[in-house]
Amino acid sequence: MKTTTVFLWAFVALLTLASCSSDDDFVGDDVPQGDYDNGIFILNEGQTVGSVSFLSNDFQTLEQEIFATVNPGEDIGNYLQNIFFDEENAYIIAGTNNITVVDRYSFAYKNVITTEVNAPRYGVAHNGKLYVTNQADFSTTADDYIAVYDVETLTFETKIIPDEIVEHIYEANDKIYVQNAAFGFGNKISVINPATNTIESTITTTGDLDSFSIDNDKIYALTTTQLEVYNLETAALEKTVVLDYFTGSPSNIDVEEGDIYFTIGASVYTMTTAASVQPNNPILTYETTSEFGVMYGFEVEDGHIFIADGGDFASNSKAYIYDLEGNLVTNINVGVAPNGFYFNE
Amino acid sequence: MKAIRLFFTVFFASVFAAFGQENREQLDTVLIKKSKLQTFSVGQQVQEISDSTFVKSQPQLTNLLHFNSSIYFKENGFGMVSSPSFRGTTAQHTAVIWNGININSQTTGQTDFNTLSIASFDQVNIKAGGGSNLYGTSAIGGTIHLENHLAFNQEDQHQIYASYGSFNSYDVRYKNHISQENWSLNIGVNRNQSNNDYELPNGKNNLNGAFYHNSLTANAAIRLQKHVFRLYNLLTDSERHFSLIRPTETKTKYQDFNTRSLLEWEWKNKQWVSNFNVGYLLENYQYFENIETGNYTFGKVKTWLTNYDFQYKLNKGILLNPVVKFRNDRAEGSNLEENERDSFIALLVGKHQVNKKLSYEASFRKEWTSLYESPLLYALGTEIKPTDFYLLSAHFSKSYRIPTFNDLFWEQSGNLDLKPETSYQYELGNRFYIKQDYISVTGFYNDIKDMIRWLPANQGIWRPQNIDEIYTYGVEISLQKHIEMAKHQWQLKADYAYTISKNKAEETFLIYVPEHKLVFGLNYEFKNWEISWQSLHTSEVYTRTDNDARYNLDAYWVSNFALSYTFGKNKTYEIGTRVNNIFEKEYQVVELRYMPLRNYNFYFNLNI
Repeated sequence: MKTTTVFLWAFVALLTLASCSSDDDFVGDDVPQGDYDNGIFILNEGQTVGSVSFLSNDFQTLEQEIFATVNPGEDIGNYLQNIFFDEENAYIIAGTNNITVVDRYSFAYKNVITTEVNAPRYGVAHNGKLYVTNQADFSTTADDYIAVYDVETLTFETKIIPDEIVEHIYEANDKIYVQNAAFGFGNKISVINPATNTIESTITTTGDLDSFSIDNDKIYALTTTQLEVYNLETAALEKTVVLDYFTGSPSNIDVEEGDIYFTIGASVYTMTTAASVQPNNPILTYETTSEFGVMYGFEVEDGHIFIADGGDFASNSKAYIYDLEGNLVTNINVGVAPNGFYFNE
Repeated sequence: MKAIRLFFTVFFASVFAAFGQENREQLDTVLIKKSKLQTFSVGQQVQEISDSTFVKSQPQLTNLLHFNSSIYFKENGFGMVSSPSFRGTTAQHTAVIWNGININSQTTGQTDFNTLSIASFDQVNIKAGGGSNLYGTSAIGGTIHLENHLAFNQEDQHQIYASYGSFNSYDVRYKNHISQENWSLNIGVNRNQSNNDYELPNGKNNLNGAFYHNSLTANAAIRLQKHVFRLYNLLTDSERHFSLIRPTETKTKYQDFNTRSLLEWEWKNKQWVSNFNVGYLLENYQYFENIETGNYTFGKVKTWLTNYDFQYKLNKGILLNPVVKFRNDRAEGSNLEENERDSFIALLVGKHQVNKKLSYEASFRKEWTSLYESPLLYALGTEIKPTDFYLLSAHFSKSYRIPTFNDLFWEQSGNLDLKPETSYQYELGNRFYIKQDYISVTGFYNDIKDMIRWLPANQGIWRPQNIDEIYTYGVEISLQKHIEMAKHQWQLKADYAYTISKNKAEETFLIYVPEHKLVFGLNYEFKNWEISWQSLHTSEVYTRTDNDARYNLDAYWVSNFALSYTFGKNKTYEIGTRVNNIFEKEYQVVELRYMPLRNYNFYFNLNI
């Protein structure tokens, strides 16, 4: 290439950059803050390397492997487990004991947390801290812990050891709630005071806890046999609804705008939060070519039901989007073993 | 030198002093036991690898077979878990037979080919194609026969071998064969180990990949007139740290300890050979999920087996061989409740050598066990040799793989409704001989039903199901050629396999089965020098079941080079060097598991 040509290209590049940066000055509230604003991240567990797919909110644009595209040469890890956010960043938890920090709008790699990361599961950001559940050695639950990091420096600060298995973690009303149940065993929720980083109380469910959801000052705990509703403030059990289905036991609770959603096998059931009896018929049973790997990811958000199918765990799989009446809106191709939907708004 | 030899001889022979007396009776001159493989292989081909090749190979059985046969190996990085794909089948479709006994793990259904050292054996034979009728479960893609020789031919041989190489790898082997007319002894000890911290293409080093293997073989035979008693023992003890892909991953390690013992009593007459044997197998592993905590999970299987085998020569051409077997396997483990399985097996093999040109063989096998229904297995083979230089063979077999203890009893997941996988296999072979050289072309078709696969079911629990159906077909070409010109000797060996292996429902290719595999070996000897060249070429492989080609692993071509010099009286001493992956090929056999770049080995071999 001739020197003059190089200069020409450099000039063009500079111009482009300049125009881009001047555009940035006019970013308003409605203008996307990056390529991956206003859309849905679909986390794919992976076979050797995990990946993240991105779907725009209007379901029109789909992009695969966005981390690899934006950050060539960086490793996101494998067995991707969870994404959680704070205002600026997305934190991607990998089973390979690394938590990758990226800009939540551009997905540009920023940093990685590896200190005190040992079989990590889920995380939440709250008040300048990150809380991450770690199951550590699988043969015992005594060493399970919640690791606390500083958001600014990403340094490890302390660990909270509940002497119980740790799984899902949520923040509500300035408290951190940790599910002490996984893989069909366990029946507790620990409540952590983030000011002291201690467990100040525990809620014990009657049956084995599958999952829970916090909505409108209530904890909706789904056990393998019933729904148990607790008051968020007092932890008093307010209501139980027996869920008895011959097709299987319920999982994946999600409470969204006054309605409770859960799944049994490939079916989704819904009931209002006011209901006192179980719904008998599913609103949908999703269609899948795979008989197995059912409901590997499930989420209800903004008038839609999102279902990820685990497929055969050795090839790219599919996700399905339904409306709340149970009509299929669209299905999309995703990566290997998709397990969760995260909404970036 | 004599002193060393004398020491070993006296040391090992003292045990046999009682039998040291010359037995003056005239006995028939069978030196080595004729194995089932030698007696009954009509219609199938057997490839033999003798221990003279072992000196030029790395100690792991994986390496020997990967570079000397058309079997493809999936190795999780050098020295790590290694499983074969024989004729396009999966890891559990190759049976490993130790001195006639199937030693595939009862928990995993397969043999990890990096847990066995070639130093423990005198010969390795490879038989492609179905063989469950004679060798039991998993003999679908083929069988690997590990053999020790116990001859009564007044040997007194000792081999001492030591090698040192890259990544602080060393390998020491001692093996002897001492025998008289009426007793025979074969003792071997081996240790190999490596830091295995080879450099990866990204400039980093292989992490947490160190391993060691110890093995001890102690085999003995006594002959009392028409009776021969043989005792075989193999003990292996190894520890491997499983290498990491990422430095953040939790470091794990795996220890395994296995013993295999077999005692047999052979009684031979003109018309019949009666063989009664009793064996005991112990397999034991400990898996440390995190080497820092020291916690581990384990699995343990104890097997008692007994066979009664009666070979009867009906007339000059017809050989009949009924066998009854009984075996009891008892397994327990961290995730396995203690369980046992009793199996009773009856089989009948018959061979008819119609004349010099035509022979055929048929066999039937039925197994009874309380746990599942086993199908009747059968095989039929024939060989026609119309001229001295051409042989046409055909073989049909129905083989099976039984569900393993993990499949049946794994905590919360085990499925007692499983049935054995079954395979129907057809093959047609052509072999052309020119003196000691040959070229063979074999085509096969194999249909496997009810394949067991672990799939996620409710609550994230994985359970095994009889779900898959695959078919494989292909062509194997083997070639061997010797050239001798004055003091120059050339030996050429090549094996090529074309393999198609597909899932029936989706018509997709199986992952990690290359369409083409070619191994090529060239040996050149001149006076005391020997140069050998090995190369291995495989085409690209799929790593995703939907055959998304974006994730395919590239084809690779790896070459090893060896040079050795022999000196001393009777070629007693040998020094040599091996250069593995001489062209520095960057290759991965399993996704993200890179294999070593160029590496070196120096060895010293003493045969007295």
